[in-house]
Amino acid sequence: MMKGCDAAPTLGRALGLCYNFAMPSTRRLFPLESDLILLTLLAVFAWAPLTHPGFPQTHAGLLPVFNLHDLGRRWGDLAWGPAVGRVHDLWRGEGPFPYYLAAALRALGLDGGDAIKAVGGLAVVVGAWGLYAWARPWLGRGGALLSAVVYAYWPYALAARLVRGAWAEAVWMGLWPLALWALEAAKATGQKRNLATLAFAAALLAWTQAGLAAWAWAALWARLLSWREARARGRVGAALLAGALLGAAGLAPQAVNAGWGGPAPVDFIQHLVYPFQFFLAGWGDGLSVAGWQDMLPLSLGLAAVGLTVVAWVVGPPTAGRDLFLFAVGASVVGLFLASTLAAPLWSTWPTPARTLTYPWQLLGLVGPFLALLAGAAFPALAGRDQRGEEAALRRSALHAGLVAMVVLASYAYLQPRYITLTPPRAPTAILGDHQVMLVDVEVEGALRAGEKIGLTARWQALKPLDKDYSIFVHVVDEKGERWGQHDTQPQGGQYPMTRWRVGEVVEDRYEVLIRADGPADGYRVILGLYDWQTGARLRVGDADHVVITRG
Amino acid sequence: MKARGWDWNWLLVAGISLFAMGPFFAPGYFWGAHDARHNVYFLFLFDRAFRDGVWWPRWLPDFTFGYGYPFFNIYGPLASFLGEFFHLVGGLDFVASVEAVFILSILASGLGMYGFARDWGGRAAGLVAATAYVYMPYHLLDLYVRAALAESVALAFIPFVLWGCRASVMRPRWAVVCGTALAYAGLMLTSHLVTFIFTPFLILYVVILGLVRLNREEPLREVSAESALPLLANLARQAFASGLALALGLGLSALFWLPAWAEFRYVRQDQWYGGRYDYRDDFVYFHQLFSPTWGFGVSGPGPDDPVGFGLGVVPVTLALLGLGIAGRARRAEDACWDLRFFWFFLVVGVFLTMGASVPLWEALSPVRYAQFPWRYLTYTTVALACLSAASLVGRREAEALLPALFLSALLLLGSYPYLRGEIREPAEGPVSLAGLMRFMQSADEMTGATIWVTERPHWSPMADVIMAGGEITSRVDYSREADKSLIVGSVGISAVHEELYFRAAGPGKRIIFNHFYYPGWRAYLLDKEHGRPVRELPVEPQGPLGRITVEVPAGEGWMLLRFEDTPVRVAGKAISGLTIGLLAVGWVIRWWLRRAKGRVPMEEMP
Repeated sequence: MMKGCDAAPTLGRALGLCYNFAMPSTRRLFPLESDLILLTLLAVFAWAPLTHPGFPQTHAGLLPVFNLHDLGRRWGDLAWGPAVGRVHDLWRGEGPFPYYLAAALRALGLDGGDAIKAVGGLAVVVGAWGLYAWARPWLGRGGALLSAVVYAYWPYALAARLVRGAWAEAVWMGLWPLALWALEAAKATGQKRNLATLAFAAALLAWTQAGLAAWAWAALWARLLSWREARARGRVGAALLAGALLGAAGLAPQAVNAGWGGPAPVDFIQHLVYPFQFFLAGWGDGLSVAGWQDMLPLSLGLAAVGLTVVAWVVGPPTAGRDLFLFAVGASVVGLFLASTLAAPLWSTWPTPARTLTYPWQLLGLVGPFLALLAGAAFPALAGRDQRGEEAALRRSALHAGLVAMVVLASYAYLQPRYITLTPPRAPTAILGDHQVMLVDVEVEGALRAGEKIGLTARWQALKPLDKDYSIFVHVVDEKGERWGQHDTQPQGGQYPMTRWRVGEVVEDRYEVLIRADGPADGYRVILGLYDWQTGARLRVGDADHVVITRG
Repeated sequence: MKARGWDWNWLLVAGISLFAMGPFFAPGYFWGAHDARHNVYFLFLFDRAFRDGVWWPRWLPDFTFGYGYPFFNIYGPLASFLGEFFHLVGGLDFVASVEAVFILSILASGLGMYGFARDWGGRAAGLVAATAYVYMPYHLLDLYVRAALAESVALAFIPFVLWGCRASVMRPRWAVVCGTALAYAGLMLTSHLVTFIFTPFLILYVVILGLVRLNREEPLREVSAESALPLLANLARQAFASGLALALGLGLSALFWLPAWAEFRYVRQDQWYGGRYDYRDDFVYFHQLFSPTWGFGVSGPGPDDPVGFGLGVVPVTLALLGLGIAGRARRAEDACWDLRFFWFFLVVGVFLTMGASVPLWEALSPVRYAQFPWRYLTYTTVALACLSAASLVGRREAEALLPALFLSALLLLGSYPYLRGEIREPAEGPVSLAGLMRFMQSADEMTGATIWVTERPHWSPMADVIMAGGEITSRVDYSREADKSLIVGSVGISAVHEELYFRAAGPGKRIIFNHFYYPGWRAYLLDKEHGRPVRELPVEPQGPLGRITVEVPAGEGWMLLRFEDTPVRVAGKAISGLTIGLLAVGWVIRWWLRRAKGRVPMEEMP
């Protein structure tokens, strides 16, 4: 009899005992095994960057933190949605669920930034767990682990968290495999518990990112329709429908309050992905741009693609062939729709584009299918028919090597930049058409005639800036008469705004001398941005400046 | 790979290690690495003392702008001995000699880890563990970023010590005990700091192995309260050979560690543990352990060090996947305990590098001995190397080679981007005393001082002489003899002595030497020039520089100032000599017993 000397199964059995105690049903809802602990540990390179004391400098910058604080201020408002620094769009924008999750973590003592990061970390782990559970019946333990690791280190998912700051989308990618698992589990067992899980997962997807959820529902329905068993289709279909309705109901207050959204912020077709971009190895922190010169990583990942090819060349497992065919089909369809090959289709039928900002967001849908296909490489190479201790040991080294290869393939991508300042609970102002955010301002010195004051301002670009806006700082009296002024380009002209990276926090310092012949006190400082070529100022709500402090 | 019983994997390990050695064969030297210049100038000064006939240099007279410092009295000299061998025997220059020592350390670390891991895991596991050890990011950091010569050589000794201790418990033999003793002595002579922080775990490892061996004879679950004492006695018996080996190793190296321990208090410790060496600024953040960040900067406060503290993506992944795999081979049940020990070793190492361990650092002075928290990554380097091989433990040789090569290739690939040094030209110019003075002045390095120094110097008259192209012919401070009541002339000088002629107009005249005072400096009145000591003269430190002053009697004569062994150093040498004698006697007894009775196990030796 084989003896193991590993600690993980013992720990897993202990956790399993606790789980069974909490859920006294004889049939567990979710198989809790030591492999889940192992998966959490294997994913450490993916979630460890989120333990940095700073906040990842992504395209979203500090907006998620501000939105979380906004939720705290408006707690109980069912119509709340993340709208700080963003244009409301129920389809394309972030849903409220990730922020409610973060709020729960804040209630446990985390600060805003840490709560958001913790949600991102949870998304990694939950996504890996979900993929493992989904893949296990068809690929076995080894193949399922490999699939889960592929998913945890998938470049598109890493970019969503560490480059784009698309935290809601990251959570969505964490929930999506759970929904896929719940669908198959509901079909396999028919238990009410599994059906309820499916419905709830479908709803959560909607509450996280409604546009992607619509595509997910379509994929789930397609999978459901591929089943031969009519009774299963009926049961599961009802659960799916219930989930969709629940999801829509959850979003209804927002829709009633602010509508479903406005026009597309970008030209959808111009952002279709050129096929070669799926295979680029490079990594960048830039934006998606019209055309093929995106600085945003859109690669499918060497590990995922390579292992998928290996699996199909060597020969995929015979069991669960229908699922694999479905995964192939879903991957091909998803990639096709995201690519320039589908441009005529989108031009002819633009309605579905209403659900997404960028077509490459469909990669989030494709991820689990690709990971499943990649995981099939292990049983294909290892030969599941071989039994015995030596065969098992042979497989273990192969498995270890494959998993290590997957992690290594994405390792270089795990070096985000960080914002190290402690953000306030809300930004000072948002200027223009959600163009620039004034994060905070600190004023030093007394507001009195003859004094010199210093201001330290932190800015964040919310979108690419097409003009080198100038900054003005005025010291005015109660009547609005100006007694001190400073106009400048950012950082003394060293860093004009057209060079600012979206999401980057730029610190700048200004000094203003208050004329000695002015009133003794009663001053206030106003600050703003203007186009130096036309003199036009960026709007701040109804005004064209921000009042910083009053004397 | 096996042919006629010889294990070709030794060659394979050496071959795999070539990639790590490669940067040292490239033209130029990475003068930009943290201690790159130190290594070269340590060897330069060691060579000067060695050529002066001091076969075991303790005092380096050219340290700190020529005021001197007992550097090799408190810092392991073995790495410099090795460099001196390459310099004197091999004919290499100082830079090439240092690089040769680095290359040797890489090779030895791979071979040592192969031998150790093969002992408990088999040849395939040994191959993977050796590759992992050589290419572990912290090991590469020591080589290319820190240029930590002593620590790199210490990392080479550690697997040999582990191997020897394991063999001493599992298959005790006199040859194994001697080998272990030599390895442990080598580790101590290289870095007593690494030895100090490593030894507690070494003892724990020996105890665990003893219990494993005991369990084979009598399952521990059948032990009762009555049998506890006999159990402890049996455990002591199992661990006796290892304990003897470590004791002999301590004995062999006593000529270094005893004075280092006893006399470290006579040097200014703020230069070793304060200021930029304050441990509070160097804790590692959790994300840094898993980050691919690599750089040649210096560790500082905060989470964004421009240097890599990663554990290694491939070793960590392989170690995690080894959980639950290892030990499933029937042939490798004992290896389970080795692996459990290494997991414990890993967790402790990680914990001690992180800020969460601050209470431990503040409460336990032995923990602070490591100087920097990230130095506990030596623990994780050893542990992870062994754990990387877990999936191959107990595998049959014929089937395991290919998987071992596959995993080794991944380990190498994972660290490939780190295999480079920053080749630069030396800012101070060619290696020379003048270059040394410029280095000391620009970097404030190699400027250690003794506790009698209250104002650290930033230059010296000796440095002026050197920079002017001259040679130091005397360390007497002649500027203090303006009144001509004391006339002094040097008649001979070396690294550790100076002989003077003096004429003092009256009693109470003191000769001031540009040497920092340190125990061991003694002065004598000679009967004639180059004569015998007649009586000892009092030596005292004086002034803010803590320089040596000697009071000479009225009249004229010759005096000798000499750096000698203190009682502690004498005791250390005596212990080392005695230990060598014991080892020799042991071999003689072994030879006699084998001749008389044939092969005799260790337990039957008197």
